[in-house]
Amino acid sequence: MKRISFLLLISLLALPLMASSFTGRPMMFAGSYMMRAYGSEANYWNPALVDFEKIDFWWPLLDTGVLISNNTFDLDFYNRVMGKGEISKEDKDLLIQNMDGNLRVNMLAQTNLLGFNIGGAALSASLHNYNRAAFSENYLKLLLYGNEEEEYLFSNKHNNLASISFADVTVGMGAIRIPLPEKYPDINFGWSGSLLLGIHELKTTRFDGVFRSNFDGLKLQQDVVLRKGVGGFGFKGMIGFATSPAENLDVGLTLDNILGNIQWMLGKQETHYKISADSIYVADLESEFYVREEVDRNIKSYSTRFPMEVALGALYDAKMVSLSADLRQGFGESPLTSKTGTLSVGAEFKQLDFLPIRLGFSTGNSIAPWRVAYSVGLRAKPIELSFGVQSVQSLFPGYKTKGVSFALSFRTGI
Amino acid sequence: MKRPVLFLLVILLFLVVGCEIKKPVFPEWDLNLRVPLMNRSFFVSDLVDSVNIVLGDDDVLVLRGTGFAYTQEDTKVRFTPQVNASGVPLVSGVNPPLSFPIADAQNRVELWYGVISAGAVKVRFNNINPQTQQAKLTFNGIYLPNGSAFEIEYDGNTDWVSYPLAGYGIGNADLSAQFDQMNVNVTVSSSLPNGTVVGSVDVQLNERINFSEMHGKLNDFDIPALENAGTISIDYPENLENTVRLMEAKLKLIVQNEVGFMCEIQGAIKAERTDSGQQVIVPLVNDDGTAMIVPAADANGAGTEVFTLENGIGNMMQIMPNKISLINMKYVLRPDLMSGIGSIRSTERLLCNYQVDVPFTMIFFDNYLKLKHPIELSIDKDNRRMFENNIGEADLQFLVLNNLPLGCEMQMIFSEQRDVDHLDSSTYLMKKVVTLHSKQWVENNPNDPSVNSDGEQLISFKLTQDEMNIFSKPTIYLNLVFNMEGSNGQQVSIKGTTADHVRVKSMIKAKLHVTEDI
Repeated sequence: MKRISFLLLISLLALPLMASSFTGRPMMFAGSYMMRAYGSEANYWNPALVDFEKIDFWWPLLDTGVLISNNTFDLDFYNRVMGKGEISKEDKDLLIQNMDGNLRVNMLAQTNLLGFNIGGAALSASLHNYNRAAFSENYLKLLLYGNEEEEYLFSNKHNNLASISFADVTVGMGAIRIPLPEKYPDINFGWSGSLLLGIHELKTTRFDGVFRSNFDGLKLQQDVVLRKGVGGFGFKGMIGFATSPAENLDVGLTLDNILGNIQWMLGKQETHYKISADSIYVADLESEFYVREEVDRNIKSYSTRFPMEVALGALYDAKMVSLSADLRQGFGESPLTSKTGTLSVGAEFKQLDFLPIRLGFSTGNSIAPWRVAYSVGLRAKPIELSFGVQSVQSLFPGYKTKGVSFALSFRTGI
Repeated sequence: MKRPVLFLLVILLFLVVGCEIKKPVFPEWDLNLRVPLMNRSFFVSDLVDSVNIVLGDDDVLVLRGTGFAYTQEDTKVRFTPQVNASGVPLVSGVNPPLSFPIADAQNRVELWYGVISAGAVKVRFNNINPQTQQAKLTFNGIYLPNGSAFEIEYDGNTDWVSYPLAGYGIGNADLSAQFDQMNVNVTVSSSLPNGTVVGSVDVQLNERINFSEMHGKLNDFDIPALENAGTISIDYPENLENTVRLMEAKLKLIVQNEVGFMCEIQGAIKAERTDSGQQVIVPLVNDDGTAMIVPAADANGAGTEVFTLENGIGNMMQIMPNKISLINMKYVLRPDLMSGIGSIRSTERLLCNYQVDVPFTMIFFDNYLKLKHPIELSIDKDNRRMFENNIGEADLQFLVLNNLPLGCEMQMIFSEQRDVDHLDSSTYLMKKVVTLHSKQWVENNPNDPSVNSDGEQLISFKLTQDEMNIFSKPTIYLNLVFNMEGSNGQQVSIKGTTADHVRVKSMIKAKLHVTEDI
């Protein structure tokens, strides 16, 4: 337990990996969940799947997912360094290679508050928290190699902090059959609309820095603007389509984050941190050699936009096993979405009806590495309790994993 | 199918829980630091302290040594009269006045008037008739402080009696003429008939008289300067005499004469190297060979004269003397130096302040200079440990813009003992050599790899890890030896304008071993 706690602890430097909803159950399939969702959960994955046949009820807080990851450090590296008591050049090179520009740390958590569906309509509410931090590899180079180069530049691209938390109250309707000629398979349509209640947002809107050391002295300049918002309202919409083109095969299409944004209304503030020092020499250090400024100013109401995201999903559901695949593409970068396409695949083995076993795999994107999910559940209809873990950048959770996630799901449904 | 999947999950559980996690320790690693150390401009004019280094003509830097030679405060003018009269009859009634020639036995003093600080007249009355009522001598040339003439009256004593004259004036107070005759009136009264000899008197005024004030003329009267009153001591680097040829030097004497006589300065200036015994003595005469004459003081105050000597002074300084002093210096007072009479008081002095000015105009030879005293470097425990454990190697770099016509190769010699032979490597631990070229050299070699487009010279001072360990000793000594860049026989002047400076930017590149302590 102590070791598991430690794994959690070292991963507390964190950032979100996944788009869309990631309550406990979807994480067990590494996000390949579009065509697996039903009932109130379909509000987030494909509202076309909200139907009359499958009804469920979300118990508060019992469908929860937490994910912590980074792109650089793993337990193997930690043990190697601690075992030797030194960081060799090979260790440094490996770290820089792993960073690929910057150290990215993600932490996200989502839990349900309430959810149920009646007929073709569903109501759900959940709580979201996304955190992402990125630090340029130049900082690590300075720390480990020293200032071997004359100049180091820092920008918002490689150094940023984004944190947002909000709750949603989502209403969706599905199983709306699109009238098509008989020769075409039935296609269901669904929609969901989410009222978003912003809790907080924190984001670096500017990060400029330079560190230079040469015969003209040492120059240090750091210019950071941190935007903070507390309390806001917003909306996002989603439409989805689903059909069964063949026996046991369901496919779907969704467009998410339509008009997605949160308007921050209450505590709106921008903090400008500025540290500058120029032409500094050791011989002059007796005097105050740097200028530090921290200025808070209130700003106008602003909105956080969520770029739209399109996703394709497929599910082959046989008697003993179900296989799924999701392809997801965002149209912009945000704590929720990535411009890099992601492919997720999942499987559920159902040989023992009371003991479903699930596996999942997701390719990485611009803000998160690839990962593998494992899960086991206990099912006694209409109740199901499942636990899952994810291993980041490692096939199995262990020395090579760069993050872990934990998923809990308690469902009651018919 | 289900068994392998279950087995896989169980394995996963063990993988997670079974991971070994090492105990955290502070790791150590090496990193390379580039730390800018300083950016300073060192102006030649900063050397000017207006005392020892001053700006001379055309802003040329001048090394200045100053000294003084004063005469003592109690100058004694001695006068030895030769009055010795014996058996001068005392006649009752009218006596003719006595007159004695009075002149200096050594013929040095021609007295017009003086105030006596020490001296006496001796008188003895002989065979005085008992009926004598009064016998009195009145010295018309000697005056009491109240202006009345000095008198000696017979009181019954027939032995020699010495009468001190301290405080009394002698001579012609109005300075109307030389005082060369002493007139003495003799007054005798008795009950005997006039013309009767009632006795005799002996008068002696032949012992030395000191004057606290004297008016008249002085022949070859010397007033010596106090010896060792002001010696200039200079500390030069070793072998400077073989590295630098000074092109000029001046000796300037500023003399204030409080005495009312013109005088001639006599003596010499002696420069010596106490280590080699070399000496150069230059007589104190004007450059044209004439004597240096100082005007007399007058009603407006002391007579002042400034003498500037150049002949021989440059050669004198060429030996790089470490001691310069005035020797056998005296002021000679002669009547031929001035018409009329002069005056002197015992409190009056002659004050001579002198300075040796050596402009920094010289020719440099390709030779070495060595600081005589090494620099002692004490390294505290924390720094020693850091040098030993944390600093791997270092490269101390300088970017130097040298605007001076001086260049040198500097040898930094680190040793455990104070004295080292820079040519014998067994006497020191480490020698590092860096070269700084002169401005002229840089202008003539703009494409040299050590010179950048701004004319700055990059000087690198690298230390390996073994060499770094030298600094783990508590005390080491740094000896500096400079091999000067020769000026090819060209005369070089070091000036003190704002353009004459050296700008130094420095940076250290060091490999640092990071540990928990640092």
